[in-house]
Amino acid sequence: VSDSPTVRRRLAKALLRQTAWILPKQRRPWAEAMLSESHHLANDREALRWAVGCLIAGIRERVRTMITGNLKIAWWVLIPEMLLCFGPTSIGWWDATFGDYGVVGLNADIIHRYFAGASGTAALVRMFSGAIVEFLGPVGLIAAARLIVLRRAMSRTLGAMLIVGPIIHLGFSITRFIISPPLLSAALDEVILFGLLPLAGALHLAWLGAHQSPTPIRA
Amino acid sequence: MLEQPRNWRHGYELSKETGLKSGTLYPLLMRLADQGLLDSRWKDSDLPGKPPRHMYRLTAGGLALARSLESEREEGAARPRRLSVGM
Repeated sequence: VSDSPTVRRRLAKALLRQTAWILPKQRRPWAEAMLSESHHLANDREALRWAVGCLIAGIRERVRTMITGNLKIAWWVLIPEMLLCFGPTSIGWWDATFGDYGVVGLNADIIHRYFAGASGTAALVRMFSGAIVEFLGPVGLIAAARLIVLRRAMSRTLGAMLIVGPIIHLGFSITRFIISPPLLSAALDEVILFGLLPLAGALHLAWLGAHQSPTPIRA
Repeated sequence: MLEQPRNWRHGYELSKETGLKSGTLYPLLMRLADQGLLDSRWKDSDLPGKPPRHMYRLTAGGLALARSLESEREEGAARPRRLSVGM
């Protein structure tokens, strides 16, 4: 006697529990409906197929809730997403500002000694501009926290700054790559960590803020 | 659902009738219910030891919409096709 039907049935039940967890809160009664329906399927294979379909339905509903942009987006999705998007830039800002070679540690003596000449001035400008642009990292985290905790969207000006900042960073990184192709790997890191990720986070935040009221979902 | 609108049907039955998998069927049912086109209720199972079942049928609004869509579809099928002539 094979025990695979029992395994399938257990797997189906586990998937349906996951579905209940994935579905947005207001959809939980549908998870109960899916689970109870699976109990009525005599065939274990059919029950498993049913459960897989229900899991897909759950994921689709979760994604739909997210992309319709109401603030009911789950905090457990938004928090890691925002940390991923703005975390590296925030760390970069901290390092560029308060790190061993950060701008706060600069004084007249150091500038005079190590940043003399045109190349030194260029390096200084790059350090300061980096610290300023990367300040958008912690600002993005604060804006995300306000949205998650207080349900308050950021202002248009702040949204524009959060979007334009990474674009400027992207421009600089790409220019650096064009000027010095051997710096490709460094430029790629910068493009992703300080350009694309914060840009994606800022766009998502702006979009969520602009769609605060739940919109009716149409088939 | 349109042929026997008073009958309540469960999800698996609808899936079999329409050929839709549960992954497609449930989002549609949710959407219809959101728009007030679908009625649902729990019904005790006829089988001992089984949980209650979620049953569905179209509301009056859903029925009206389904009928109008059906008649539109039939009209569309009956209408001769015209070939559009482009320049």
